Amino acid sequence: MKAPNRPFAVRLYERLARSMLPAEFYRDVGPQIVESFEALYADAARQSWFTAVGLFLRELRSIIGTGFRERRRLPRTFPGRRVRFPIWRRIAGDVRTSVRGLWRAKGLSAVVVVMIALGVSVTATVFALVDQTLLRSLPYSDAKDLVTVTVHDVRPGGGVLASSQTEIDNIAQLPGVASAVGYDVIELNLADDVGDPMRVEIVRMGSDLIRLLGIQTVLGRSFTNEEIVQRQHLALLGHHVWQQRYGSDPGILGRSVLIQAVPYTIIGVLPARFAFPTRADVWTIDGPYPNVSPQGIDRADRRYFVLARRERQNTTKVVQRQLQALAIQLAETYPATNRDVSFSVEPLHDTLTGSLRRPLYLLLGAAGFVLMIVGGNVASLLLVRGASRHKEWAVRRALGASVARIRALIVIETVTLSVAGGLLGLAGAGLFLSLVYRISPAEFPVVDTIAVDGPVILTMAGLATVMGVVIGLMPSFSAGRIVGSEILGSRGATSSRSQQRVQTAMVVGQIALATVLAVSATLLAVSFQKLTNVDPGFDRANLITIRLHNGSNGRGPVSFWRDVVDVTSDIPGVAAVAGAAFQPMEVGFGQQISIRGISSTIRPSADFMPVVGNFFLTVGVPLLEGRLFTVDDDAEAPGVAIVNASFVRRYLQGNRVLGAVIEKTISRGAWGATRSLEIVGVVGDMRNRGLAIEPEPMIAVPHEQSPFGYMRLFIRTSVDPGAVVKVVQERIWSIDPLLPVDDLQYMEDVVHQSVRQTRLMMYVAATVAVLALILSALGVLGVVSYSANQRNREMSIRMALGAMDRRVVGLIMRQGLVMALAGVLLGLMGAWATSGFLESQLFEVQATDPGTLGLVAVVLIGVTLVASYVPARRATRTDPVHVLRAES
Amino acid sequence: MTGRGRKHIPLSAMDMQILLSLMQGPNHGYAVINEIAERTGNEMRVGTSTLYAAIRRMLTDGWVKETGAPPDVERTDVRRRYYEVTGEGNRILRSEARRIDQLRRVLKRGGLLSDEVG
Repeated sequence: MKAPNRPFAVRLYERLARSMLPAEFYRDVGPQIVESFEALYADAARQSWFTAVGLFLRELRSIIGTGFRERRRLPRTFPGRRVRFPIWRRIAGDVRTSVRGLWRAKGLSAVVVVMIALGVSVTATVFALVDQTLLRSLPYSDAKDLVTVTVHDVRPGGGVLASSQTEIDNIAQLPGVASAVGYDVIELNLADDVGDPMRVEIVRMGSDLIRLLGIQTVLGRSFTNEEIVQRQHLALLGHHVWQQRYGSDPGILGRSVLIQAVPYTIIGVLPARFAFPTRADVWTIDGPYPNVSPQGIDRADRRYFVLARRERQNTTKVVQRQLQALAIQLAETYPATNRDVSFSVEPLHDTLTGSLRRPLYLLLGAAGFVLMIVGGNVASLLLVRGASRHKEWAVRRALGASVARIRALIVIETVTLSVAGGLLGLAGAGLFLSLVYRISPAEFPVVDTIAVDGPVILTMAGLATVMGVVIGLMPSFSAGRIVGSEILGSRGATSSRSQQRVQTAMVVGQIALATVLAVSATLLAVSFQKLTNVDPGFDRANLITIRLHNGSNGRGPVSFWRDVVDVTSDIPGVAAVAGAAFQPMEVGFGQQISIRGISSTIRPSADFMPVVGNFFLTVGVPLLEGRLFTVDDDAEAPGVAIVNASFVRRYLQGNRVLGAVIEKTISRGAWGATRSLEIVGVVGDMRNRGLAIEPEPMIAVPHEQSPFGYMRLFIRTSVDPGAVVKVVQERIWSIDPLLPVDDLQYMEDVVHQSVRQTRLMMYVAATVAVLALILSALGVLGVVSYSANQRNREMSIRMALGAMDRRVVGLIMRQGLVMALAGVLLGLMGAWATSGFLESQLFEVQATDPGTLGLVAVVLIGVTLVASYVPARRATRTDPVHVLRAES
Repeated sequence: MTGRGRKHIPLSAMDMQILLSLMQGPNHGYAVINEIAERTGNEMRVGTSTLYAAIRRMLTDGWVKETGAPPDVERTDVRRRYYEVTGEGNRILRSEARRIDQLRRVLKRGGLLSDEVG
């Protein structure tokens, strides 16, 4: 019949029949089958489409059934009892066969397994990080309804404000909000009858944060509404404190501890994994509040972060709109505290992980690259192996194995390899994770441990299997082309031209991917280098800092600090001693100020920092103008201040600096009312927001004029600081034996810590890039040595005819060079195309920095050349006579 | 492959239907399928591939053979083949019919079948 205008169903049927029925069977009766179907279909189609569909389905079943039955009827070469094994026995047999085969090629199998293990371990590590910080929901009940509310001062330069309890009550009454709780975190002294006084991190809550999060205590209970209203002095313990300090004592409930010399009763213990907002030690109800009027707690008393739970049916957007309306309403009613104040809302999960998102996805991308390189490498190795196994397949084919069965065997082999590699890789990932976690625990705030767990294992198992199948299918297709008769006795191991092309393409791809990774890693390393070279603005060597909080003996901060400086400054080895409210790498108290006689559109704000003694001399910040504080700047003297260079640049540009007067209205904290401070000196900038960030304006004030309880002691030593620590501790205890002196830091470490995210990124990227480089070098080595082997005869003839070694080496290396050039070129284009993703992670270096790109190109081409030199050299060592004799 | 025929005794219902259709003279696959459907009141609808698998086996075993188109068919598809039952096929079909007849009598004596059947 005329082929072109046959109905689709008939063409489909023919195609199905052809592919599903055994070839021999189809050759015999295929056309008759199709012809009959065509006639039947024409009849059925005339009746109704329903009949036609029914016919088609029936015929399809017939094809499948016949396909099965006819295959079983295929002539068997050997007579004998036919035993049909259940499918799982057959697979087990195949796996056994493949393991035996792989064992025979131990070296190659080991290389493949190790490569896959490397790829999987990197991917699993990064995937575990991504999964457990970004993808998984937080460990709180209905965590997706939890949102953070941030209060903004919308004036230019305004920044973020804390919220007041009354404001939080307003927020909690919004229709879209189920509840809202304010909290802050502070370090205070805890004393009891168990051991040394201890500095503890305390979460002070406006109301029940624990209930809002839906957390159950493991021992005791949480707070009742009545206790919260009455602001009773009750405490919940963190699990680790209960374990470590109180030996998991179940009788802890009802015990009294002194927090900042105030007795608190312990009523419960929180679960081990609970760590909100941080892994704090104690959770208490805050208060009482100093200024409570009939309208509620003073709105100017801004002290809290805000966590809220939105009503399920409302989106964050709805809550945002309601908050906007609330902000406008509050601004009208309470202009003194709420003019120019707005609220923003964001899911808690985003708040916690926002800054991790980009670096982690970048890492995931990099891991994907490594996995692709591994895949390419393994595939090309197996292709080589496949080529040398044509003989084995031919034998199997001749003994009656179908092509499908040989393919299955090959795929089972590669799957076995990838599963073995995958298992090893998972173990490696566990190792990597503990390493990452050790380097940088603070980077992962969401959970307290990140582990290779169920979802990670499942994902990786799936990935390894898919990889095995895909990689296995490649050589299996070349095996599929083999016909039994073709090979036996003929050339044992040759590869087709197309197979070599595939291999070359894969190696070029690998080099390209490795180039992209190497560029990223180098850029990160350069950033890190630049970052660590940034001058922090102070001298970090031989400088230690101890956080101290006076108060357990009821003494005022001024006399306390005078004593501290007195007892520590004459210790042998101590060069200078001072105190300050914050340390140089720490963000201070942002305060709104104005400058007398200068009006500007930006409302100035600056970090306020009370200092004790010769702080700037002690930490090594230079005086640029004016004078430092003296003992005469005491509580009775007129208010004075020292500002940093950034302050002058931003607010006093073109004005007289010394003698300018800063005015500040105080809401809360150390300063009681409006104060006027005369600028008496200007000092250099310290990086107070981290090394990568330009310093912000700062105002230092004498501690005597702005007493502050929460300070840091700075000690500059002339010897190794470790030598004086013990004495410092003893001297401080001589003033107050209940004071914890355990939070000691070396400023070297503090600076070091501030670049840890960059450092972590750099380490991971560098590891990944080196791995990629090694893998692609192996790929080049493999392909070049394979093709060198193939050309053994050619090279032998050349050498027999008098070609120099050099020429032979050059011929073989040329192949490597071409692959290197193509790969690097592609890779540089890739790096250029993806530069946008990396830009935000870099510091003072462009993602398209030509120096970096050039360097990477040179290194990669160099490595590739070395990798191709090895087989080239080997080619010249073979004895031409030997080779030619063996081939003929 | 002699002796293989024995394996097909007792004949399957489908094999018997196919042989029946090919006994009256040369016939082709499409027609056989339709005849079987008609004869069984659409009870048995043989799939094309199933049919040809059976025909192919019967060809190998020598029960049926390929013939030219009957003279009354003037124009036909080149792919269309006609088959008819061989002497061997005929013998097997008849012996099978006798076997079934005997079986029927045995069953009737045992009171399992009434007279009206058959």
